[in-house]
Amino acid sequence: MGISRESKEVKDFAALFHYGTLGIDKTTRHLRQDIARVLESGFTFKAYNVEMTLAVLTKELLNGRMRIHIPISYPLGNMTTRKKQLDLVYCQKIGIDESCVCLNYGAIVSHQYELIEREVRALTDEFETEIELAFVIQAALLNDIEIVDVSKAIGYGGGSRIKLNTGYGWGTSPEEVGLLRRVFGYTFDLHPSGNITSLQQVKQFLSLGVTNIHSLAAFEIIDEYIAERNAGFGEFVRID
Amino acid sequence: MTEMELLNRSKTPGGLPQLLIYSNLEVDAGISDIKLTCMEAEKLDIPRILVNPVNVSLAAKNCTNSKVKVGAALSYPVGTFPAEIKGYEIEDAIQNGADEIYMLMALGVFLDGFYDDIQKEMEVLVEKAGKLPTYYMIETSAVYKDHLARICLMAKLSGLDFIVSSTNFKPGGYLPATIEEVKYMAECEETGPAVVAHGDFKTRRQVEDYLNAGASRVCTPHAAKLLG
Repeated sequence: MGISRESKEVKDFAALFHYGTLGIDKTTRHLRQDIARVLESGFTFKAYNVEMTLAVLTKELLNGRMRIHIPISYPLGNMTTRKKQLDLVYCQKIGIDESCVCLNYGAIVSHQYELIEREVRALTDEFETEIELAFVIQAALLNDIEIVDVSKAIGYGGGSRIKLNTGYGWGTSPEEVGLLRRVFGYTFDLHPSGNITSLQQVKQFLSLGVTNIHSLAAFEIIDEYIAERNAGFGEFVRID
Repeated sequence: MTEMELLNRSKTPGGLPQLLIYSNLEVDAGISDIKLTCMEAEKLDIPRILVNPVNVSLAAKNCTNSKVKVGAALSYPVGTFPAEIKGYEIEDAIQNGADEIYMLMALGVFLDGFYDDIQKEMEVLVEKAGKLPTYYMIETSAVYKDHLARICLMAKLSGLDFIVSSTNFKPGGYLPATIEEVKYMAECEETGPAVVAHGDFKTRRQVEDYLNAGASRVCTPHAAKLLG
């Protein structure tokens, strides 16, 4: 007898994912359709990611069923720290659980890591107790040394979660996750994101100790997992 | 002389630089890139530049002794923020030295048909910018033709100065407005504000085509090169 979408194993697998309704052209109609699909599935994703203009309605529709996650200063962090703070104040006001904040990419590639550290510190000091913050580094556009240096700056600033990419055409590779694991061990909670569309990719990230996967293809990947397991050649994914 | 009279006067042979907005919205623009943008704009008599919010302060310092105006591209490139947040962002940009305020539309809200919310964000832009020129940035290729007429009318009612035809954001961004779309918006000038064509325009010919279609100004990251 195979596994189904209703089984605990599949629900545990689904709980690895951040899923959501993202994109500047997304309307309340898209949101309602997506959330209806989520609620009907019975899955409790790690969090539901949504644009800020749709946050209040998302909260109402999910009604506490799962955490809500808002991206800030997408996709490359070109807003001021002040603006990022204002966005987080708004998130705080409407009761958002978590956020990913894009760091200033221009500062990263200019190697102005003290600015990054200062921004991370300002945001973690003010908000971390109420909103779980991940910092986005856009690793796909950085070399290995820059990935390591910006991660150090995040650590010095008090950040503990790193989201590697935003999507928008930029995806995370297992090599990037592997690099950070080799250098920092498990100091940071790493969140791969962008262009993750297959079970094979997810398995690679899981083997590197990742427990947060951002993917708008979560349903398709879950179906792939079920099909593989039921075909008898897949492995049970152990989630620690 | 009004802004429109100034624009009309500058539509003369040799006046091309006056009609350009030199954008540097590159995500990896460093200190030296922004300084260069300011320097080139001054040298080539380009009166306006457009930069990301995080670079407004630096650009303003570098343009202090020139006539170059610094525009801040706010809520760029997504625009998906409530009007109250956009209002705070405008205050922040003005404190940092912005001379002109560009604000990106909340596209999803517009496509939802929540026109009152769009009107509100336009009004916030006009109110918070005070005497500074206001530019409302849209993604023309993401909306229908009748939407454009509505946007122009709402912008006029709100007292906005300019509509900017696209964000020119890459990758994953929308296509720039076509000549026909700019022409259509410009023909709405009776009911709407002046039009700024924004795109990756690399030649004088492209710029002139948009101006001939009725754009009042053209914004491009290649402004300096095409004048050179």
